[in-house]
Amino acid sequence: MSGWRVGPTVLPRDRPPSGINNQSAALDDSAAEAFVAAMFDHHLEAERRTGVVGRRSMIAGRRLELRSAGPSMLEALAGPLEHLPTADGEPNQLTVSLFDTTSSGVEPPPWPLALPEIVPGTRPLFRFQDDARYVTIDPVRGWTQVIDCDRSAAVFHLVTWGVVSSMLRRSGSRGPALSWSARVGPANRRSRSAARSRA
Amino acid sequence: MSICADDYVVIEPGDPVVAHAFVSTGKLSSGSVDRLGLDRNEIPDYQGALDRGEKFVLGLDTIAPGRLVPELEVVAVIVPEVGSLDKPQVTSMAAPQTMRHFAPSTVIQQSTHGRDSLRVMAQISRAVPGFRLGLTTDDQLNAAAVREVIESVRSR
Repeated sequence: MSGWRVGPTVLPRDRPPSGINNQSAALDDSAAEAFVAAMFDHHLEAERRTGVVGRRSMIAGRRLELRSAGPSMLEALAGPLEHLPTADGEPNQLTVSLFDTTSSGVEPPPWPLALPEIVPGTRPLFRFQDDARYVTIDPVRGWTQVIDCDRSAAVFHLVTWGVVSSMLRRSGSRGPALSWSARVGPANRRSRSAARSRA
Repeated sequence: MSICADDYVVIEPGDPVVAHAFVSTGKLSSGSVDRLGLDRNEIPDYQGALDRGEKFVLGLDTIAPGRLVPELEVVAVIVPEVGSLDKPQVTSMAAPQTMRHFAPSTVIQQSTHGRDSLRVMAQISRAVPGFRLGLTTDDQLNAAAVREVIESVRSR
């Protein structure tokens, strides 16, 4: 038995009502195991379809690689990481894999638990974990994150990268100025509906 | 004054405690854009983000050219208290009190090892002095108070 458990639902402080909602859903261990494995598999499938773009950086003396299925997500994220030195050729100490459904055509695996009803106007984050794996789901904005400490790896899925608009531009001698703003677009609304339908 | 983040850093406990830069961006409200004297025309989608009630994410180099450094030694924990005092007011805090100020919000945002984070924060609270800083509405005075605290700690 791996001991999967549902964590408290967190409501970001900028989304009233703030605080922790202790509503929790039932979670089957085998379903959680299958979900985590499938998230990594689905990312590999997305990489197979779109190609992979990677960026290796050093942070706090550790080697981090961001891998993106297709270039769009990594291009937008690269700006804030440009100041980090490039990692040497030694193995990664953390690998973060990114994919989105719109550009890859790959859906994430179905959630292994029915999420509680989402109160309109809130943006709860649902979490479940065992001692080494941590899953966070944001059904409103449409992203899911899996962190596997034993594998020193994480995978992040976004329904559509189009919900995050990014602009990287040069402004003379002032250096790069990056702005992004997350918007709730059609895909997010679909995701919210999906969350309700799964609940 | 050098900076290595607007918000999140990677903390490496030890002697000294070191804060490592991660992303080179900062998040600003429209109020902070005004206080920093930034040109709104230089901020992409300024009005759009404002209309959506969102903050702006800018490169720290835009806000403070040349100030971003890859790492900084952590010499103190300063807990600001928003207010309108005549002058900034600095008071010392004991380690447990310091930790109570920054641990809850940090742990709640951790999606992984909250317990490990708590241990690191306890180490930091014991390793460096903590201060409460009552703020004025004058940003220059507030910044000068932060400098004074850092200098006083370093001269000990």
